[in-house]
Amino acid sequence: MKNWFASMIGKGILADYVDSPLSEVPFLALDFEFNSLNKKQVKFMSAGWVTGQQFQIHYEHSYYRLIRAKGDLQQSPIIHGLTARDIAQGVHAKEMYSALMEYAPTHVWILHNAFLDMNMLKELAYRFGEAMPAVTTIDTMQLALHKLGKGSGQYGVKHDAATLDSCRRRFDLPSSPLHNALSDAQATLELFYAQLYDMDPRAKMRLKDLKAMTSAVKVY
Amino acid sequence: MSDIPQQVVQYLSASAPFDVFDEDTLHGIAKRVQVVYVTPQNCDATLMQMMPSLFLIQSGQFTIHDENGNERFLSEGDYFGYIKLLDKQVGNITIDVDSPGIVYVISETSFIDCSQNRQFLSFFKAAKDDVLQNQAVSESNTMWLYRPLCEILERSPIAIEQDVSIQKAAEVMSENSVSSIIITEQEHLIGIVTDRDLRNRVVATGFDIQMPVHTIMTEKPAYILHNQNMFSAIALMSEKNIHHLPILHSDDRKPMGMVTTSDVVRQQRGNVVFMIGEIAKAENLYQLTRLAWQMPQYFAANAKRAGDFDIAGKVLSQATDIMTRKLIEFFIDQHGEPPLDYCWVVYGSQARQDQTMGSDQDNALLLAEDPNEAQAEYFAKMSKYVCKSLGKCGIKLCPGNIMASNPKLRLSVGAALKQARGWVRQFTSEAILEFNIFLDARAVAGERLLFKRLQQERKKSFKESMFLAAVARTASSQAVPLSIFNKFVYQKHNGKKDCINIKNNGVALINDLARLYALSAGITIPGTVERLNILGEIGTINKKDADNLRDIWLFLNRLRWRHQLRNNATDNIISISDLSSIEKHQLKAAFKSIQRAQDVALNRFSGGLS
Repeated sequence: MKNWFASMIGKGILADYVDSPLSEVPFLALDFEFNSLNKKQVKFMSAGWVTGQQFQIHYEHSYYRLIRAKGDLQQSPIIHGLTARDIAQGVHAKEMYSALMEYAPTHVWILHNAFLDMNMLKELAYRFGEAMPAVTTIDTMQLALHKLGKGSGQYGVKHDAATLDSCRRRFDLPSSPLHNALSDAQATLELFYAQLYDMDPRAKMRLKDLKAMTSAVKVY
Repeated sequence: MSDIPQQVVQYLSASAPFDVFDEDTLHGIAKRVQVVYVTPQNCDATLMQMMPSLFLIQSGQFTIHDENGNERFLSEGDYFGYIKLLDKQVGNITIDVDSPGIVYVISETSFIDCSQNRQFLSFFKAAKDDVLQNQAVSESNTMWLYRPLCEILERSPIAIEQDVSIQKAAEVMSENSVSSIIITEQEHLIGIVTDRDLRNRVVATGFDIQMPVHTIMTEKPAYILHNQNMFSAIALMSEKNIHHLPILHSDDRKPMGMVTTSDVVRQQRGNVVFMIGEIAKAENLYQLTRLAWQMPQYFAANAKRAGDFDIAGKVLSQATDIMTRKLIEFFIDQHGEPPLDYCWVVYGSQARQDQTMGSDQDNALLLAEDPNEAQAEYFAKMSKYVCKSLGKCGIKLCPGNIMASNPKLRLSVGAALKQARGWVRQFTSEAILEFNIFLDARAVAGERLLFKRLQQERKKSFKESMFLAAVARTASSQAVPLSIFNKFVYQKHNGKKDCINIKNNGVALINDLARLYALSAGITIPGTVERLNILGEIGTINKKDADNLRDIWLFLNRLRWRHQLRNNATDNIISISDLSSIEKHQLKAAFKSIQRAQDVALNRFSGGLS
C-alpha cells in the first residue's frame, strides 16, 4: 500500500493523470446491493455505475443489472424492492464483474463506504479464482467524516451523519430515491463533485494531494 | 448500452413541461441529458460551452444576466437557455453561480425533438415572452366547449325500436320528459322523432297514432360520436340547423344519448348563477337563511370548471346584495318606512364582487343628513337587524366592526366627506391600511344618489399626489412570497409546511394596485377586473400590462376558489404541493409579475421612494 502511487504508474491510462487536477480525472461511481453484510455469505443482488469527468455525468456507459442468484433470499429484497423473479432474470455475477473490471485501469472509482464494497468485490474475485486488478478508489464517506472532523470512520459503523443522504443534504443536494444501485451511484458522484468543489474551489488539487490530506483515497 | 438512473427520469417527469411526455419518451430524453455539477470555477468550461441548450436547475442558485443588462435569480426547478434555442439572434447570457449545484442539460437536438409537442414548445415560448402563461385563463370561458360529450351526458339514451307505435313513442317521451327520441333498428340508430314531428306530421295531419313510429321519423339523422366535444356538436347543430343531435359510441355506434339546444344553453350559463334566482324568491328570514346555507354546498357541487371560479365571487356578492335588500325589505315591512333617505353601502370584497366563502361583511349606512334621535334610533335598529341576519345567513360579522351596526359607520353624506378629506391629509401607512377598505365601495340598497354624491365629491381629493404616493408605498410594502432566488417563501398551516396565503400575498396586492391606479384616474368602479379593464382601455396602464395583471388576478382567484371548494375551507391558504407542476410555474411567474407591477407603481407615484 505504501507504494500505491508507484504501482499505478505505467498501469494504464490513469498514469496520464498523475499531474492533472482531480476534475480532469475520469471517474466511475458505483454501488451494489447485497443480500447480507457477511462476507462469506454475501451475494450481489444488483450493480450500478455511471461515469463522469469534469464535474459532468454521462450516461453512455451507465450500467444497471440485477445479479442472478441461487439459493434463498434473505431479508434484503424487501428493503430493496426486488422480487425473486426480478433477481432470477438478472445477469450472472461473473458477467457484471468482468464488465466492471474494464474500468480498473482507466477510471478512479468513487464509492460511498468503499471498504465494504471493495472487499465484497475481492471476495467475488476469490470465488471466481481470480486476483482482482488494482483499483484506485475515493470514498465519499471518508471525505464526509474528514470534513466532520471525525478522522477515519470505523469500518462497518455507519454514523447517521455519514449516510449518503445526510452527506448530500449538507450540500443541499436533493434526497435520492430509495436504494437502487444506479441511483445511488449517480448520487455518490454528485456528492463527490460537491465535496471536491468544497475542498478545492480553485480546482488545483491532484489525486496525491487528496491522499495526503485525507484517508479517502485507497488502492484495493 | 446505457441505463438511466431513476432520479433523472423522475425529476424530468416532475418538471413541467416535461410532464406532457410518457415514460418511454422521457426515458429517451433522459438518455441524452447531461448532468453537470456547476461551480463558479467550472461554469465557463461546462455550461458556457454547451450553449445553445436548455438548462434545468436541480439544485443550487444562479444569476443569469442577459444581453440587455437584466438579471434573473434562479434556483431549483427553473430553466434558462431557452431564449437562445427559440431565437438564435438573441438570448446570449452569462451565468453567475451563487451557490453550486446540479444542472440538467438538454441538448439542442433533444429540445427540437421535444418541441414536436406543441404544449412543450408553447411553455417555453410563453416563458420567453416573459408573460404569465395565461392560456389557462383565456381558455376558461370556453373550456366547457372542449369537454368530451360523454362527460356531459346525464342519462342513458331514450330510444325505441322502429316498429313500435307512434303513440307508444310519445308515451316514452312524456315519461322521460324529453323532446326527442332515438329510433333504432336492432339497437342501431336509423332515425329520430321530435316534439315538432309529432305536431307537424301526426297531430296536424290527423295521422294514425297506431302506425309504426318509423313512418314519421326523420331518417338518417345527423349524429356525433361520444368522444367528440361540445364545440363540434354545436358546430354541427348550427350547420344543419337542428336542435337535437344523437350521440353514438365511437366503437360500436350504439346510441349513447342526445345533445339538445337546451343542454348547450345550460352548459353555457354556468350553473352557479341559478342560486341567485332562488334567493330573490325568499319571502322571510327563515327561507333566506335556509337558502343561504345551501350556497357553499351548491358551489361545491356546481363550480367545477375554471370559468365557474371566475364568476363565483360575483355570484356570491350578488347573492349577498340580494340578501341585504331582502333583509331591509323585511325590516321596513315590520317597522315602517325609513324617516330619512339612506343608502346601504358595502366595502371590500363585496364591493369588488370577489367575495369567497370566508369573506366577512363590510358595510355602512349613508344618510341624507345628520339624523335626530328618533331617526338615529330607527337606523340603529335597521342596521343591527340586517347585519345580524346576514350573519345568520353565513356572511360572517366583521371582526374589525366595519358594519353599519357600528354607529361610527352611520354617517351623513356631509360627515362622510369630511372624514374622507381627513384621510387624505393623514397619509401614514397605518392610516392608509385602516381606510383602504373604504376605497372599494358600492351602493347596494336605498337611495343610490347619496352614494354617488359622496363618490363624486371625494374622488377629487383622492387624486392628490401626496396621497397617491402614500397609497403606492403602502401597496408596495406587502411583498410577494418569493425569495431573491425565486423560491417560494412558505408559511406553516395545518401541519403543512409549504403554504402560501394567496389572498394576502397575491390577490390583495393586485387589488391594491388596481385601486391605486383607479384613484389616480378617478375611476369609482370597485371591481378589480373591471378596474383593470378600464385602466387598460383608457391607457392609465399599458393595455398589455393591465390584461396581464387581470389574468394573474383571475388565476390566483381560481386557485383560492378551488382550494376552498375542494377542501371545504374558508381560508385562503393553499399548499403548494396541491398544485400541478405547471401551476407552480404559473404561480411563480404570477408573483414575479406582481412584483414588477409594484415596482412600476412605486416609481410612478412615489418617485421610487419607499
